[in-house]
Amino acid sequence: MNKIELLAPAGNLEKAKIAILYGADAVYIGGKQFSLRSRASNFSLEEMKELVDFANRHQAHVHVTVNMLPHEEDLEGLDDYLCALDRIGVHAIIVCSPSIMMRAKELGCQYEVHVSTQHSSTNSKALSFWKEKGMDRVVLARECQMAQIEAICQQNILPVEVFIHGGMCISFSGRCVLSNHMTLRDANRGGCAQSCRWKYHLMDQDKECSDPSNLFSMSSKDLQAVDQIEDFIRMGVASLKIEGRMKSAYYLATVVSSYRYLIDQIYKNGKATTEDLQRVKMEISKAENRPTGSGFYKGLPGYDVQLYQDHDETVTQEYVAIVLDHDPQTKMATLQVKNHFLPYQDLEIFGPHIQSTTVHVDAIYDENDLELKVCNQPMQIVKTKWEGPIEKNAMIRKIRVV
Amino acid sequence: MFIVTIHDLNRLPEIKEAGADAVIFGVEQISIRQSLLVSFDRIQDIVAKCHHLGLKAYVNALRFFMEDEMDLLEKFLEVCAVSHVDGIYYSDEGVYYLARQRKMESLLIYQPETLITNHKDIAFYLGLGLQSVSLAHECSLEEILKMTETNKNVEILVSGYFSILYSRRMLVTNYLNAIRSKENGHGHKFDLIESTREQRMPIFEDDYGTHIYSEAPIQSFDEFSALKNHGIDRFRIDSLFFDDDWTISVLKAYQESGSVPGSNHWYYQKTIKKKEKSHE
Repeated sequence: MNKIELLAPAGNLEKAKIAILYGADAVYIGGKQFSLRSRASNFSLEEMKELVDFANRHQAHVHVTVNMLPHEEDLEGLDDYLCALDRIGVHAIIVCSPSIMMRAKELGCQYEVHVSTQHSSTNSKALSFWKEKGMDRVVLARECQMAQIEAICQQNILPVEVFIHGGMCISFSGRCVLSNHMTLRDANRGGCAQSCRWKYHLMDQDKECSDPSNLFSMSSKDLQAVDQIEDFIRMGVASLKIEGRMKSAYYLATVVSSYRYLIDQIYKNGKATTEDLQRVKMEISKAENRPTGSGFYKGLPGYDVQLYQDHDETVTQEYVAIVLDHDPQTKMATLQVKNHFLPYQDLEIFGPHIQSTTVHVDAIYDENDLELKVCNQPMQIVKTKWEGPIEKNAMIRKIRVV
Repeated sequence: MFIVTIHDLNRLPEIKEAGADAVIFGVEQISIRQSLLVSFDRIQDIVAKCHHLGLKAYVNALRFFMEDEMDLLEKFLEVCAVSHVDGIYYSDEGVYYLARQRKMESLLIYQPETLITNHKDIAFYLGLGLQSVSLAHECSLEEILKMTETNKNVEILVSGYFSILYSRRMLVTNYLNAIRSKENGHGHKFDLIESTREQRMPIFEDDYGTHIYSEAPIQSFDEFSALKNHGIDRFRIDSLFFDDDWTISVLKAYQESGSVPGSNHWYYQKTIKKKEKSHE
């Protein structure tokens, strides 16, 4: 049986490379056409090529989302785009529209075609249907529970991909057009406004049943499936998918490296210890900006896995710098500032090959060797003597007081 | 062809008289978003009644089925076959796979509420041997006419509320539990009003999840001729949250150029694809 794949999202080239460096076996990205996350930061074909070359050097794969549900006006250029992806050498495309799936096969494209979670495949007969159509993998609906996933995997119909982390749709994927109705932004063509997270009065005719100080909402806690990884490996799931193409490079580095560590521990020792699980959850919590829960993996979600109160989703200020370079002789590290921090304090470093380690930082200098009292200009290049483990692309953060 | 939902089977003769060609009913454990639910053992009798009146009988199997429900689904299809139902609405590919194994695919109408938004996907599903495919409600009239240039064998909801969100979670019960309310959220129609707006969206929680509906029932009186003249022949009328009197008045309105309250604005509305465009 192949080793389970850790599949990470990436909204741009920098994030994709970080995800691979920090341990993702594959990354999924969106192009500037036919993708659900329709943002300007999606990949051009040239960027995809650069990423595929980078991924090949690191024995990783690139999957491209072609998961928009096209209207008539969106179909133009489809063949050219599918063929371009083939020439670039992507490993797979993730698709919802069956006609796009079939077209990729008809054109003889060499990449795999994966059925998107937008199709909400919830049983083995649906997988059998997609197998007959020539598809290569199915991303299961997030509504599947553990015993159901196991029963599907046991039948060995097609490789199965499951979500393990990140934002959760409150509805069956693809079956929500709330955004269309509230904002005219088409949820199935990349414009979802997440209207499910807004506040609503719940009315029984003219009687208000909602609490005016805590109105009805449908926001879900993010998924975090650390406790289920060992079971997924045992069941024979093919791929563990992290959601979050909009997430920061720091978030990706933290989450990917955490799951990487856990997967490797399970393969090495045959299981995850309590310490492994606690350590991974602690690491992940350093980058989370929204409460997490187990989704459907511990049964039908109750109110404890939803969010009703307004909560801060501020980007964490903990991430303060990234390592651009270091000189092992002089021990001078060159860093790029990300957030405000002061010299002469303990900070924490983690990296593709470095577990979280506390290091004391003394004087910090700018590029003209002038000592700084504070590092408060994002993107500024600074230098400091680093007496601890360090590597290029490692990230430095403040130590959270628990 | 007018395909309508029904509340009271005693009204079948009136529904037929009013112009319906087919009725849709629901089956316990199988259907969602349906005005009438019957047990498995009544299906055959109801189909016979419909046929006796010259009506076709369709069944709603629109929900998603989990892995441990495959036996239930097989039993349902068996009963449908024995009962000679004329059509089965589905949205789970597993239903198709099992129906095809029984050579029942020609009974199926793919009705996912969303998803069917272009002619290529219409062709894909019709190519599976289905009876018909129901178009996504978010398509404009112009889009509908364009995507059915070649394949006319589609079905359109012309009157009634339609689903805009389908969740597996018990969203109403969860919320009422969270605020420690004594209200019962299950099996009862509520409305949602977004905090800055006035429109109401019906919300209903059943054993299979929560369904939120459009802010108004669609009506297509001004568009009906264009759709018919274009060659489309299957028109669905959904009386959920109404009653059989409503269905009869709607049927008559379509045939006599009348009207019944509702909204047709979706036919003239274009949705935005990109997030950035919404700020232009």
